[in-house]
Amino acid sequence: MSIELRGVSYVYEVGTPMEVRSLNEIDLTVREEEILAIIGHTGSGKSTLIQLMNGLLKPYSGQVLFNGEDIFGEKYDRRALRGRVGLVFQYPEYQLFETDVLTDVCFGPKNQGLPEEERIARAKTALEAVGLGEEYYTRSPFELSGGEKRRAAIAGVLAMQPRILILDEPTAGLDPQGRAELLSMLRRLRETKGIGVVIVSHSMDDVAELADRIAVLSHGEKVKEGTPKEIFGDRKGLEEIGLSIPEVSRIMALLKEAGLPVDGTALSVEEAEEEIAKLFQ
Amino acid sequence: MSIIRTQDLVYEYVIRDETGAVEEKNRALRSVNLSVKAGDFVAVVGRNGSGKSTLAKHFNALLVPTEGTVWIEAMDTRDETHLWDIRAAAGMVFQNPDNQIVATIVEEDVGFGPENIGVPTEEIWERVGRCLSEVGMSAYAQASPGRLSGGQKQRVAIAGVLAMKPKCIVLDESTAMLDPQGRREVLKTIRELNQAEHITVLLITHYMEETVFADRVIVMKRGEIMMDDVPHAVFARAEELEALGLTLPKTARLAQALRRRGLDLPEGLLTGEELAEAVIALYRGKETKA
Amino acid sequence: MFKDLTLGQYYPVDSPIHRLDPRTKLLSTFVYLVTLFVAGNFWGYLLAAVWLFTLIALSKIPLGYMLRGLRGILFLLLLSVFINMLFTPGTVVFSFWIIRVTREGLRQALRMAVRLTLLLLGSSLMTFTTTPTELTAGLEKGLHFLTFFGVPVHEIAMMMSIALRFLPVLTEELDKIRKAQMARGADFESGNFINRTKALIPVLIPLFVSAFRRAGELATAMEARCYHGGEGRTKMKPLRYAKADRIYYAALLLYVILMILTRTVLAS
Repeated sequence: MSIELRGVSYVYEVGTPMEVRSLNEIDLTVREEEILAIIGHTGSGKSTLIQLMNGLLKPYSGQVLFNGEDIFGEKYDRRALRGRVGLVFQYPEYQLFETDVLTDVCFGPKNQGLPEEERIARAKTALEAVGLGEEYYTRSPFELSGGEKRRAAIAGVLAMQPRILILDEPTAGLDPQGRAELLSMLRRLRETKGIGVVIVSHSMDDVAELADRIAVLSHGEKVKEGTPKEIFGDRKGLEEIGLSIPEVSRIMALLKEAGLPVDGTALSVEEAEEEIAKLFQ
Repeated sequence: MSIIRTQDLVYEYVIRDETGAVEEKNRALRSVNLSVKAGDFVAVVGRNGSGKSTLAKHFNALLVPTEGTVWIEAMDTRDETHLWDIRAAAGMVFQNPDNQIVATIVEEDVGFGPENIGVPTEEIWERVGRCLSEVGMSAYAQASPGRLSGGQKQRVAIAGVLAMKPKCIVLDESTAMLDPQGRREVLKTIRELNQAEHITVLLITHYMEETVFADRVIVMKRGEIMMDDVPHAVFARAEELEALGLTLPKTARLAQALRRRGLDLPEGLLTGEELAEAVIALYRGKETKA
Repeated sequence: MFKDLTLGQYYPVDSPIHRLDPRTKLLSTFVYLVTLFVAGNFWGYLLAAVWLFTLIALSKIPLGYMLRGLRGILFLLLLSVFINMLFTPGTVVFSFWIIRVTREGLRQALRMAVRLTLLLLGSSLMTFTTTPTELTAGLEKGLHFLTFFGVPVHEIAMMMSIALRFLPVLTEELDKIRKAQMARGADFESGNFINRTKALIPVLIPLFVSAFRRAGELATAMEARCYHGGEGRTKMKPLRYAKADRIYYAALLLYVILMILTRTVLAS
C-alpha cells in the first residue's frame, strides 16, 4: 500500500487578499514498512502536507493517490481512507474525551462501524502496542501522565488498524524517557506490523535515530529527499534553509572541514566514536 | 548574598474527597535545601514528576511550603505583607506561551505587570520600551500575540517579567513547547540578560543540552536534590543520570566514550565546537610527533 | 465555521476614528443605535446612513471588508425580513397558497432590513476601530460610576478583554480538535439533527477541558505578575479626551438634532 502525491499544491484562503501558497508542486511517495521523516522549519508546509495525505485537506492542484486511486475522485470514501491512513496531530492528548481510556480508544473503530466485540479487541491490541496494559482500561484519560496520555491518543488512531501512520511532532513536550519510549514504540510498529510511518519533526536527533528516508521542505517546496546520511551529510545546504543537523553530525562535519580524514556521515554517538577512534590508531 | 534560599522545604499536594476529608497526600518536595547566589545561572533538571516545577512555584510564592521555609531576598514567602514584592523580585515565565499573554497587543502585555504594581504611566512606557528592546522584540510592539512564533511569544513573556525589574527570573519549562529555533532564541535572550544585566536565572528544564551554559546544574528526583554541581561534573556521572531518566547531551556522551577509548581529551568539553577543536588539536599533535 | 465572523475583529489602520477615545466611540455608538429607532421615515434613515458612511469613509476601512462582516449574520437578517414581510397584516399585494404578502409587510421588512444593516455596521465600526483592550478600558472608565453601586466594573472589563484575547486561540483549537476527530473517522456532515449534535460531543468536551486548563494557567500567570484586581492599579494607556473628541461630540449633537428634526419638521 502506498500514498503518492503528484504535483500537489495547496493554497490557503483562495481568492482573498490573504491568499498564501503553502505547498508548491510536491511529489512524494509514502510506503509501508518504511519510516519517512519530513523536516523543515516552522511554516514550511509540513503540517499542511500531512493533512493532504488522508484527505482532510483537498489539494489546490495535483493529485493524491492511495493505492493508485485518486482520493478526491468521485465517490471515493475518504472516511474509510482515514482508517487506512492514520493521522496523529501534534499534542494528540487534547483530543481525548471519553470517561475511560478503553472507550476513548474504541471511538475510531466505532466510527468505522465495527461490532462492539471487534472494537474492543482492536482497542486492546492498540493499547498493548503503545504499552498501556489492562490497568489503564478503566482509568480516566484526563488523569494519566503526559506521556501516557500521548500514547493513549496514539492508540486511538492505531485502533483503526491503519497501514500507514502519520505523526506530527510526536515527541514534542515529552521528557527524555517519554521520548525514548515513543521512538522505540514507532520502530516496533514498523517491525512487527509492517506499518509505514511518517513523522514530521523539528528534532533532528529523532529523525536521525528513526528515519529510513527524509524529505526536506522549505517555503512549500520539497528541496531534497534522501537517506539520513545523505541529508545530514550536507551541513551547509541544510543551514542555508534554516535547519540544523544533529549534534553528532555537526561535530563530524567540523572535523572533516578541518581536513581530518573522516567521512563525516556518522549519525549516532557510537558511529562517531568508531570513526574518531580510527584516527588515533 | 543568596537571593533564593530554602531550608528543609517540604511540600505536599493534598487530595481531598467530596466531603473534604484528606484522601491522599502526595509529597512533591522532601526536605530541599538550596541557596542561589545573586547573578548565577542555575539549571534545574529532572524527569516529569521530579518536583522541579513545584519547587519553581515556591520562588514566586505561588505555592508556600508545607514545612520549612523559602526566602526570596530575606523575605519569607509565607509573609503575606511581602507577597507583591516577592512576585516582582522573582518573575516567572511558564511553559505554554499562549496561556501567559494577557493583552491583545504586545506592548500592553509587557505593561501588564507594572500596571499591577502601580508604576506611574510614564515610567511604564519607559520600562516597556527598554524591556522589549532587551529581548529584541521592539519591532513587534504593536503586533498581536497571535501573529508571533512560539519563541517570540516567550520573549514577550520574558519582557513582561523584566518590566517588573526582577532580581531573578524563573523559567518553568519555558522551552518545552518550542521548536529548536524558538528554544535557541529564548536561551540566547536569558543568557544575555544574565551576563549583561546580572539577573539571576533559574532554568527549569528536562533538556540536558540546555544546561551546558549554566553555572550550576541541580538534578532532582522525587522531590529531592540528587546532584548539585557545575555542568561537566554532573555530566561525568552519566550512569546515574541515565538511571534518573535523563539523557546526557550527545557531545558529552561522545567525549566520555572517546576518553574511555584512551583519548586524552580535557575535562569540561560541553559544546560541539569545543569537542571538535579538542579532537583536532589532539590529531595535529599526533601528526607532528609522527 | 467562524471564518465569516469578522464582526468584532480590530482592523489595524491609523485613522481619525481609530484615534478617538474609546469612551467617545462607545457613547456615540450607543446614541447612534438609539437614533436608529427614533428614525421614522425615509429622511431619518437617509440621515443615519449618511452619518454612518461618512464615519466609515473616515475610518479608512474598506467598505467591502465591512460588508463581508455581515455575511455571518445574513441568515438572521433574511429571517427577520421574511417574518416581517409575511406576518404583517394589511393590503394584500401578492398571495400564494398560505403566503400573503402585504404592502405594509413589504414596507416593514424593508425598514427592518435597513435598520438591522445600519445597526450591525454601526456597532461593528466600533469594534473594527477600537482594540478590545481600548474597548474594555473605555467601558471600565466610562462605567466607573457603577462601582458605587457595588458593580465590579474592573473585573468585568478584565474578563471581557481576556475573552476577546482567547477567542481566536480557542477558534483555532476548535478547528484542530475537529480535524483530529475526523482523522479518527468522526462524521460531522451526515445524519439527522440529533446525530449531528451527538457528533459534536467529541469536539466540545476536549474544547472545554482545554479552555479550563488554559484558564487555570492564565490565572496563575496573572497572579505571578502581581495581578490582584483593580485596586492600586495604574494605567499604561490612561484615557484622556482630546480636541478630536470634542469636535466629534459636537458633530454627534448636531446629528441628533437633525434626527429629531426629521421626526418633527419633515414628518409633517
